[in-house]
Amino acid sequence: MEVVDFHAMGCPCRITVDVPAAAEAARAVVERLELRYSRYQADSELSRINRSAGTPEGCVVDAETAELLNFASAAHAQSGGRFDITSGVLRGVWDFRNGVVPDHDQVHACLERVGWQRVRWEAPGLWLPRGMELDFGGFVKEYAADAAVAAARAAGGRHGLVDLGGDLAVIGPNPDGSPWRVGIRDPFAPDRAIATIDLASGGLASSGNYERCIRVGGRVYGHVLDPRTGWPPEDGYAGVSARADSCLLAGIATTVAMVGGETEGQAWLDELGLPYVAVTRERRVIMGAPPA
Amino acid sequence: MSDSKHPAGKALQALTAAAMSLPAYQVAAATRDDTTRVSVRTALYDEASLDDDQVASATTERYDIEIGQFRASTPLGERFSVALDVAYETMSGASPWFVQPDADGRPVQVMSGATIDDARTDVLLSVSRYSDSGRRVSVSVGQSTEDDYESQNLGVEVEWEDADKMTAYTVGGGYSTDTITPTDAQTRFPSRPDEEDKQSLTLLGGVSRILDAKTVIQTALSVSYLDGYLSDPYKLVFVDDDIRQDTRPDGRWTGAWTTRLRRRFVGVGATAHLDYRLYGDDWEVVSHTLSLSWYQDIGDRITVTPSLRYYSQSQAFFYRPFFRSTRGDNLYSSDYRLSPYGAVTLGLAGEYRFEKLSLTGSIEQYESSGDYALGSVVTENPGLVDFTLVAVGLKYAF
Repeated sequence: MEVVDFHAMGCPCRITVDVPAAAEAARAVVERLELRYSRYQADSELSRINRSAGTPEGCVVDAETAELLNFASAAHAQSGGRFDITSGVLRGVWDFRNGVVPDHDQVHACLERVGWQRVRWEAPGLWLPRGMELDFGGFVKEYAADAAVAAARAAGGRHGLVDLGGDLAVIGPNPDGSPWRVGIRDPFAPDRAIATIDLASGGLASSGNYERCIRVGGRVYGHVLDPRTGWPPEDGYAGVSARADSCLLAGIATTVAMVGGETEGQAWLDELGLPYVAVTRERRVIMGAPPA
Repeated sequence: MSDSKHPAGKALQALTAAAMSLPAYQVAAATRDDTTRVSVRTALYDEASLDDDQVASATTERYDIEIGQFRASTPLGERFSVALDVAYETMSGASPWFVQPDADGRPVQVMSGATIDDARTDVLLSVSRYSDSGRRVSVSVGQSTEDDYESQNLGVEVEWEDADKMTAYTVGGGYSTDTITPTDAQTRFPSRPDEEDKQSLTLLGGVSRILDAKTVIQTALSVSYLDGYLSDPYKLVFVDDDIRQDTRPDGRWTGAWTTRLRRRFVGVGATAHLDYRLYGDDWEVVSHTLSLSWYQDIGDRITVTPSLRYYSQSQAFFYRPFFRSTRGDNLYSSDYRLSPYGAVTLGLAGEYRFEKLSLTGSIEQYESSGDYALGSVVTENPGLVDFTLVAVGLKYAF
């Protein structure tokens, strides 16, 4: 087994695969997607799109970006607006590093620049209103894990696992045919596992890190913000993990559940019908084995 | 965490469908099957007896064919795969010999007197090479042997896809050479030829495109030229009170255009296959085939497939049930397969999968008639066939 460790998309990554060329192909895909969709690189495709905001001509995107936008648009519709790739600007008013809660007027003003429904998307043309930005952070890592799997398989890999900072996608089972045993991270101690599951195919995504919160008095403000209100949900989960046919779908499931909080989030997870583990702030663990 | 056993919610379906268009989820058109598979199948083809009033000879019984098939395919090294198909068939019964007018001038069938017994062995070996870019090159060689018949064929096919992986292309070609040495030629039947041969060359090209996450369309065009002895040495024709050998042109251009539509219905767990084929040749036979199959999943283990196929063809220019006068070009045939008719096939197939094993079974009922043809058929050939095909099989994936 070839094991390649590297750092990409803001997290440690590991590719384990039976064919060395497959590991390289998978890593190349992750790095390519990071370059294309990074918010931090001025020459990225995403930065080019964001620079076009407010211009009458908008911008024209390539085929892969168009498909990602189509998917993001579908996820926005299916989640009732809880998944929104325009919500990144809210980070400008929420300062989690210094633990400052913004005032309502600030959040309200910022919300005018949030909402996928305000964006004109007529593939391949995209018109972002002035002041708005796209942020693929909510799903590009999960997509990259799946794309890395596809590249590894195309390069002959048949057994292996892609791990991008805890978002997992399976290239194929262990060489002896057994599934991968993977840990579900504990949101209160990300180095520990609260459960171990068998992953034979598809993907597993996790969302939530209880350390990145603002605590003011008795109130906890989680770092996952609801694009509809600009605020974190009052009954937010500490963390959610879900398993699906792909890491991308698992990622949307967990991101939207985090935004929804315990009430809305659980209804969403149950409606999806995917296996999941949710951990509340009271450290209660909810296992989503949906009713048969 | 355990697997969901209940049907996925609408939101998940919608998200899955949206994700399917992303490049990472598109499987290369030509992806090698990395599993070794073996399958066996046995089938019984049973032609219905003709009605007494359609036949002028003692026998009304027709052909029965027992079929045994074996197939094995396996990956070979990093880039190759190889497949072997072997079929063995035993045939017995009588076949339509010629058509003559009865006292009222109505055509009646005369069947071949003696029971024909024959066996056929087909062997086909194909080797494919796959490249990373999703290109497949396949070469096949085959041989078919009967007591009175020998055929060798060679085929080449190349498949590749567009960069967006939404469109795949196929081009191919095939060549076959056949020799027929009719039984009892020159002895019991002096007019029967004792050895003839024919060659055929086929070129084909096709495009298949993913329309959306659940729909694939495929369209293909093929052109063939057959050259040599294209008549049926065992058939005779009634021409102006004389009995002659079936005599057809020694060349035949054919063309076929096939379009296949596959659509997955996620909510009901089924896939529909809708196929249409238009065929034409320079013998003036034009045919239409329309078929619909519904692959219905019942749980994870069972698939049941009802199917319906409709077929209609026009006649060859040198065909008549019998001939009142001679033709200037000396071409004559009363073969029901060159007559105008239509046919309806009803089928039902089932598959049961258990671990690496799968059991298959199917039954098909074929009925042909002048009444089923698209145009009106004035005189139906009395030899039109109806048959039943029953098959059972076993597949194993290692």
